[in-house]
Amino acid sequence: MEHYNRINLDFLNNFTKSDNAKMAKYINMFLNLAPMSIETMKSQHATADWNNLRTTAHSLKPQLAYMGIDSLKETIIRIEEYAGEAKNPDTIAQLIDQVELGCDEAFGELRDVIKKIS
Amino acid sequence: MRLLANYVTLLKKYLNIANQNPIQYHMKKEIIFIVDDEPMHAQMMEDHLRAKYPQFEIHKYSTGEECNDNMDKKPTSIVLDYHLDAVNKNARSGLQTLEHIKKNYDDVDVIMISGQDKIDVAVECMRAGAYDYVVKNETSFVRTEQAFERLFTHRNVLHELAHYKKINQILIYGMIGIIAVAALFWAFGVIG
Repeated sequence: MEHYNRINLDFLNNFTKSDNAKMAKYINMFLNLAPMSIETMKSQHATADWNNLRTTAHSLKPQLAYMGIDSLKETIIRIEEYAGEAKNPDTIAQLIDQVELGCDEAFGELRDVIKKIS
Repeated sequence: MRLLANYVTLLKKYLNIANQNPIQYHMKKEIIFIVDDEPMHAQMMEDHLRAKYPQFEIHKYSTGEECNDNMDKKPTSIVLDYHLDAVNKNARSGLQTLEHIKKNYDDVDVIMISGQDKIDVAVECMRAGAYDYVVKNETSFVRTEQAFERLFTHRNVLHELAHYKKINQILIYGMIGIIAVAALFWAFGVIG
Protein backbone atom coordinates (compact mmCIF):
# COMPACT_ATOMS: atom_id res chain seq x y z
CA MET A 1 0.00 0.00 0.00
CA GLU A 2 1.11 3.54 -0.81
CA HIS A 3 2.79 5.60 1.92
CA TYR A 4 0.65 8.40 3.40
CA ASN A 5 1.67 11.22 5.74
CA ARG A 6 -1.27 11.19 8.15
CA ILE A 7 -2.62 7.66 8.12
CA ASN A 8 -1.15 4.23 8.65
CA LEU A 9 -3.45 1.35 7.76
CA ASP A 10 -1.28 -1.48 9.11
CA PHE A 11 -3.72 -2.20 11.94
CA LEU A 12 -6.77 -2.11 9.67
CA ASN A 13 -5.03 -4.32 7.10
CA ASN A 14 -4.19 -6.81 9.80
CA PHE A 15 -7.65 -6.64 11.42
CA THR A 16 -9.48 -7.18 8.12
CA LYS A 17 -6.87 -9.66 6.82
CA SER A 18 -6.52 -7.29 3.83
CA ASP A 19 -10.20 -7.70 2.90
CA ASN A 20 -10.82 -4.55 0.79
CA ALA A 21 -14.62 -4.57 1.32
CA LYS A 22 -14.19 -4.65 5.10
CA MET A 23 -11.46 -1.98 4.96
CA ALA A 24 -13.75 0.28 2.93
CA LYS A 25 -16.61 -0.34 5.39
CA TYR A 26 -14.57 0.80 8.41
CA ILE A 27 -12.95 3.73 6.57
CA ASN A 28 -16.39 4.95 5.45
CA MET A 29 -17.69 4.65 9.01
CA PHE A 30 -14.75 6.78 10.19
CA LEU A 31 -15.32 9.33 7.40
CA ASN A 32 -18.96 9.66 8.53
CA LEU A 33 -18.38 9.68 12.29
CA ALA A 34 -15.16 11.67 12.84
CA PRO A 35 -16.35 15.00 11.27
CA MET A 36 -19.45 14.83 13.50
CA SER A 37 -17.25 14.29 16.58
CA ILE A 38 -15.08 17.30 15.64
CA GLU A 39 -18.14 19.52 15.15
CA THR A 40 -19.53 18.29 18.49
CA MET A 41 -16.23 19.13 20.23
CA LYS A 42 -16.30 22.65 18.73
CA SER A 43 -19.86 23.32 19.92
CA GLN A 44 -19.12 21.84 23.36
CA HIS A 45 -16.08 24.12 23.62
CA ALA A 46 -18.21 27.12 22.62
CA THR A 47 -20.69 26.36 25.42
CA ALA A 48 -17.96 25.43 27.94
CA ASP A 49 -19.49 21.96 28.24
CA TRP A 50 -16.20 20.50 29.53
CA ASN A 51 -17.41 17.16 30.81
CA ASN A 52 -19.10 16.23 27.54
CA LEU A 53 -16.18 17.61 25.54
CA ARG A 54 -13.92 15.21 27.45
CA THR A 55 -16.26 12.29 26.62
CA THR A 56 -16.38 13.22 22.91
CA ALA A 57 -12.57 13.48 22.72
CA HIS A 58 -12.36 10.20 24.60
CA SER A 59 -14.59 8.41 22.07
CA LEU A 60 -12.70 9.86 19.08
CA LYS A 61 -9.37 8.59 20.42
CA PRO A 62 -9.74 4.87 19.49
CA GLN A 63 -11.17 5.77 16.06
CA LEU A 64 -8.02 7.77 15.26
CA ALA A 65 -5.94 4.84 16.46
CA TYR A 66 -7.74 2.38 14.11
CA MET A 67 -6.90 4.64 11.13
CA GLY A 68 -3.31 4.95 12.33
CA ILE A 69 -3.51 8.74 12.76
CA ASP A 70 -0.84 8.60 15.45
CA SER A 71 0.27 12.23 15.01
CA LEU A 72 -2.99 13.36 16.71
CA LYS A 73 -2.86 10.91 19.61
CA GLU A 74 -1.13 13.27 22.06
CA THR A 75 -3.33 16.19 20.95
CA ILE A 76 -6.56 14.32 21.65
CA ILE A 77 -5.22 13.09 25.02
CA ARG A 78 -4.43 16.71 25.98
CA ILE A 79 -7.94 17.84 25.01
CA GLU A 80 -9.35 15.05 27.16
CA GLU A 81 -7.14 16.02 30.11
CA TYR A 82 -7.72 19.78 29.92
CA ALA A 83 -11.46 19.35 29.41
CA GLY A 84 -11.57 16.94 32.36
CA GLU A 85 -9.95 19.63 34.51
CA ALA A 86 -12.03 22.42 32.90
CA LYS A 87 -8.93 24.53 32.34
CA ASN A 88 -6.99 26.20 29.50
CA PRO A 89 -10.01 26.92 27.24
CA ASP A 90 -7.84 28.83 24.74
CA THR A 91 -5.37 25.95 24.49
CA ILE A 92 -8.27 23.50 24.08
CA ALA A 93 -9.55 25.62 21.15
CA GLN A 94 -6.11 25.48 19.51
CA LEU A 95 -5.89 21.72 20.09
CA ILE A 96 -9.33 21.17 18.52
CA ASP A 97 -8.16 23.21 15.51
CA GLN A 98 -5.08 20.97 15.26
CA VAL A 99 -7.30 17.87 15.34
CA GLU A 100 -9.57 19.33 12.66
CA LEU A 101 -6.64 20.24 10.42
CA GLY A 102 -4.94 16.88 10.88
CA CYS A 103 -8.18 14.99 10.31
CA ASP A 104 -8.93 16.99 7.13
CA GLU A 105 -5.62 15.78 5.69
CA ALA A 106 -6.35 12.23 6.91
CA PHE A 107 -9.85 12.31 5.35
CA GLY A 108 -8.30 13.19 1.98
CA GLU A 109 -5.83 10.31 2.26
CA LEU A 110 -8.55 7.89 3.32
CA ARG A 111 -10.76 8.90 0.37
CA ASP A 112 -7.80 8.19 -1.85
CA VAL A 113 -7.46 4.72 -0.27
CA ILE A 114 -11.19 4.06 -0.86
CA LYS A 115 -10.79 4.99 -4.53
CA LYS A 116 -7.87 2.62 -4.93
CA ILE A 117 -9.44 -0.39 -3.20
CA SER A 118 -12.98 -0.05 -4.56
CA MET B 1 -41.77 -53.34 39.75
CA ARG B 2 -42.65 -49.64 39.39
CA LEU B 3 -39.91 -48.75 41.88
CA LEU B 4 -37.41 -50.77 39.84
CA ALA B 5 -38.55 -49.08 36.58
CA ASN B 6 -38.13 -45.63 38.17
CA TYR B 7 -34.69 -46.60 39.40
CA VAL B 8 -33.63 -47.78 35.91
CA THR B 9 -34.98 -44.52 34.32
CA LEU B 10 -33.02 -42.44 36.83
CA LEU B 11 -29.83 -44.41 36.13
CA LYS B 12 -30.33 -44.01 32.37
CA LYS B 13 -30.76 -40.23 32.80
CA TYR B 14 -27.55 -39.94 34.80
CA LEU B 15 -25.63 -42.19 32.41
CA ASN B 16 -26.74 -39.92 29.54
CA ILE B 17 -25.33 -36.89 31.41
CA ALA B 18 -22.10 -38.79 32.13
CA ASN B 19 -21.62 -39.43 28.39
CA GLN B 20 -21.86 -35.73 27.42
CA ASN B 21 -18.68 -33.81 26.67
CA PRO B 22 -18.74 -30.97 29.22
CA ILE B 23 -16.92 -28.53 26.91
CA GLN B 24 -19.25 -29.03 23.93
CA TYR B 25 -22.20 -28.96 26.28
CA HIS B 26 -21.32 -25.44 27.36
CA MET B 27 -19.99 -23.81 24.16
CA LYS B 28 -23.07 -24.41 22.01
CA LYS B 29 -25.26 -22.29 24.28
CA GLU B 30 -23.40 -18.95 24.15
CA ILE B 31 -25.41 -15.75 23.52
CA ILE B 32 -23.31 -12.56 23.50
CA PHE B 33 -24.51 -8.94 23.76
CA ILE B 34 -22.22 -6.10 22.62
CA VAL B 35 -23.32 -2.84 24.25
CA ASP B 36 -21.44 0.19 22.91
CA ASP B 37 -22.60 3.60 21.68
CA GLU B 38 -19.55 4.04 19.45
CA PRO B 39 -20.77 2.49 16.15
CA MET B 40 -17.34 1.85 14.71
CA HIS B 41 -15.92 0.02 17.70
CA ALA B 42 -19.17 -1.93 18.17
CA GLN B 43 -19.16 -3.02 14.50
CA MET B 44 -15.50 -4.05 14.62
CA MET B 45 -16.07 -6.00 17.83
CA GLU B 46 -19.11 -7.75 16.34
CA ASP B 47 -17.20 -8.67 13.15
CA HIS B 48 -14.23 -9.92 15.17
CA LEU B 49 -16.32 -12.10 17.51
CA ARG B 50 -18.47 -13.45 14.62
CA ALA B 51 -15.32 -14.49 12.76
CA LYS B 52 -13.86 -16.08 15.87
CA TYR B 53 -17.05 -17.76 17.17
CA PRO B 54 -19.37 -18.36 14.20
CA GLN B 55 -21.53 -20.73 16.25
CA PHE B 56 -22.49 -18.04 18.80
CA GLU B 57 -25.54 -15.81 18.74
CA ILE B 58 -24.42 -12.15 18.88
CA HIS B 59 -26.63 -9.08 19.39
CA LYS B 60 -25.49 -5.44 19.35
CA TYR B 61 -27.07 -2.55 21.31
CA SER B 62 -26.07 1.08 21.69
CA THR B 63 -27.49 1.82 25.16
CA GLY B 64 -27.76 0.17 28.55
CA GLU B 65 -31.53 0.67 28.40
CA GLU B 66 -31.74 -1.24 25.10
CA CYS B 67 -29.60 -4.02 26.58
CA ASN B 68 -31.91 -4.23 29.59
CA ASP B 69 -35.02 -4.39 27.35
CA ASN B 70 -33.53 -7.43 25.58
CA MET B 71 -32.47 -9.45 28.61
CA ASP B 72 -35.29 -11.90 27.80
CA LYS B 73 -33.00 -13.23 25.02
CA LYS B 74 -31.03 -14.66 27.98
CA PRO B 75 -27.47 -13.55 27.15
CA THR B 76 -24.70 -15.62 28.72
CA SER B 77 -22.14 -12.83 28.48
CA ILE B 78 -22.04 -9.11 27.70
CA VAL B 79 -19.25 -6.92 26.30
CA LEU B 80 -20.13 -3.59 27.86
CA ASP B 81 -18.68 -0.13 27.23
CA TYR B 82 -17.85 1.88 30.37
CA HIS B 83 -19.02 5.14 28.73
CA LEU B 84 -22.46 4.72 27.23
CA ASP B 85 -23.26 8.40 27.27
CA ALA B 86 -20.87 9.67 24.57
CA VAL B 87 -23.73 10.14 22.07
CA ASN B 88 -26.81 10.42 24.27
CA LYS B 89 -25.76 12.42 27.33
CA ASN B 90 -28.80 11.30 29.32
CA ALA B 91 -28.22 7.58 28.73
CA ARG B 92 -27.46 5.21 31.60
CA SER B 93 -23.67 4.84 32.02
CA GLY B 94 -21.87 1.55 31.48
CA LEU B 95 -21.14 1.25 35.19
CA GLN B 96 -24.81 1.77 36.09
CA THR B 97 -25.74 -0.85 33.48
CA LEU B 98 -23.17 -3.26 34.95
CA GLU B 99 -24.57 -2.76 38.46
CA HIS B 100 -28.12 -3.35 37.19
CA ILE B 101 -27.09 -6.57 35.36
CA LYS B 102 -25.20 -8.01 38.33
CA LYS B 103 -28.08 -7.17 40.68
CA ASN B 104 -30.77 -8.79 38.51
CA TYR B 105 -28.91 -11.36 36.35
CA ASP B 106 -25.94 -12.47 38.43
CA ASP B 107 -25.12 -15.48 36.22
CA VAL B 108 -24.44 -13.24 33.17
CA ASP B 109 -20.70 -12.52 32.81
CA VAL B 110 -19.72 -8.98 31.83
CA ILE B 111 -16.49 -7.92 30.12
CA MET B 112 -16.07 -4.16 30.49
CA ILE B 113 -14.42 -2.10 27.74
CA SER B 114 -13.14 1.44 28.15
CA GLY B 115 -10.71 3.93 26.67
CA GLN B 116 -9.70 4.63 30.28
CA ASP B 117 -6.42 2.93 31.11
CA LYS B 118 -6.55 4.17 34.72
CA ILE B 119 -6.33 1.38 37.27
CA ASP B 120 -9.07 3.05 39.41
CA VAL B 121 -11.63 2.55 36.63
CA ALA B 122 -10.69 -1.11 36.21
CA VAL B 123 -10.89 -1.69 39.98
CA GLU B 124 -14.27 0.08 40.11
CA CYS B 125 -15.62 -2.25 37.37
CA MET B 126 -14.24 -5.41 38.95
CA ARG B 127 -15.72 -4.42 42.32
CA ALA B 128 -19.09 -3.92 40.63
CA GLY B 129 -18.91 -7.53 39.42
CA ALA B 130 -17.26 -7.37 35.96
CA TYR B 131 -15.54 -10.62 34.93
CA ASP B 132 -12.73 -8.72 33.16
CA TYR B 133 -11.68 -5.24 32.02
CA VAL B 134 -10.26 -4.43 28.58
CA VAL B 135 -8.79 -1.07 27.48
CA LYS B 136 -10.35 0.22 24.24
CA ASN B 137 -7.60 0.56 21.63
CA GLU B 138 -6.16 -1.44 18.72
CA THR B 139 -5.52 -4.45 21.00
CA SER B 140 -9.02 -4.52 22.53
CA PHE B 141 -10.39 -7.06 20.03
CA VAL B 142 -7.71 -9.65 20.71
CA ARG B 143 -7.84 -8.92 24.44
CA THR B 144 -11.61 -9.38 24.50
CA GLU B 145 -11.19 -12.70 22.69
CA GLN B 146 -8.60 -13.72 25.32
CA ALA B 147 -11.02 -12.69 28.09
CA PHE B 148 -13.68 -14.93 26.49
CA GLU B 149 -11.25 -17.86 26.35
CA ARG B 150 -10.52 -17.44 30.08
CA LEU B 151 -14.24 -17.14 30.78
CA PHE B 152 -15.05 -20.34 28.85
CA THR B 153 -12.27 -22.24 30.62
CA HIS B 154 -13.58 -21.01 33.97
CA ARG B 155 -17.15 -21.99 33.07
CA ASN B 156 -16.06 -25.41 31.85
CA VAL B 157 -14.26 -26.08 35.12
CA LEU B 158 -17.45 -25.23 36.99
CA HIS B 159 -19.49 -27.36 34.59
CA GLU B 160 -17.09 -30.29 34.94
CA LEU B 161 -17.35 -30.07 38.73
CA ALA B 162 -21.14 -30.30 38.46
CA HIS B 163 -20.70 -33.14 35.95
CA TYR B 164 -18.49 -35.20 38.27
CA LYS B 165 -20.83 -34.49 41.17
CA LYS B 166 -23.58 -36.15 39.12
CA ILE B 167 -21.32 -39.13 38.34
CA ASN B 168 -20.75 -39.48 42.10
CA GLN B 169 -24.51 -39.55 42.54
CA ILE B 170 -24.74 -42.32 39.91
CA LEU B 171 -22.22 -44.38 41.86
CA ILE B 172 -24.08 -43.79 45.13
CA TYR B 173 -27.45 -44.75 43.57
CA GLY B 174 -25.78 -47.81 42.00
CA MET B 175 -24.38 -48.91 45.37
CA ILE B 176 -27.76 -48.39 47.05
CA GLY B 177 -29.40 -50.49 44.32
CA ILE B 178 -26.89 -53.32 44.72
CA ILE B 179 -27.25 -53.27 48.50
CA ALA B 180 -31.07 -53.26 48.19
CA VAL B 181 -31.05 -56.24 45.78
CA ALA B 182 -28.58 -58.11 47.99
CA ALA B 183 -30.78 -57.39 51.02
CA LEU B 184 -33.87 -58.73 49.16
CA PHE B 185 -32.02 -61.88 48.14
CA TRP B 186 -30.82 -62.30 51.70
CA ALA B 187 -34.34 -61.73 53.10
CA PHE B 188 -35.79 -64.41 50.79
CA GLY B 189 -33.02 -66.81 51.72
CA VAL B 190 -31.30 -66.85 48.32
CA ILE B 191 -28.02 -65.78 49.92
CA GLY B 192 -26.62 -67.53 53.00
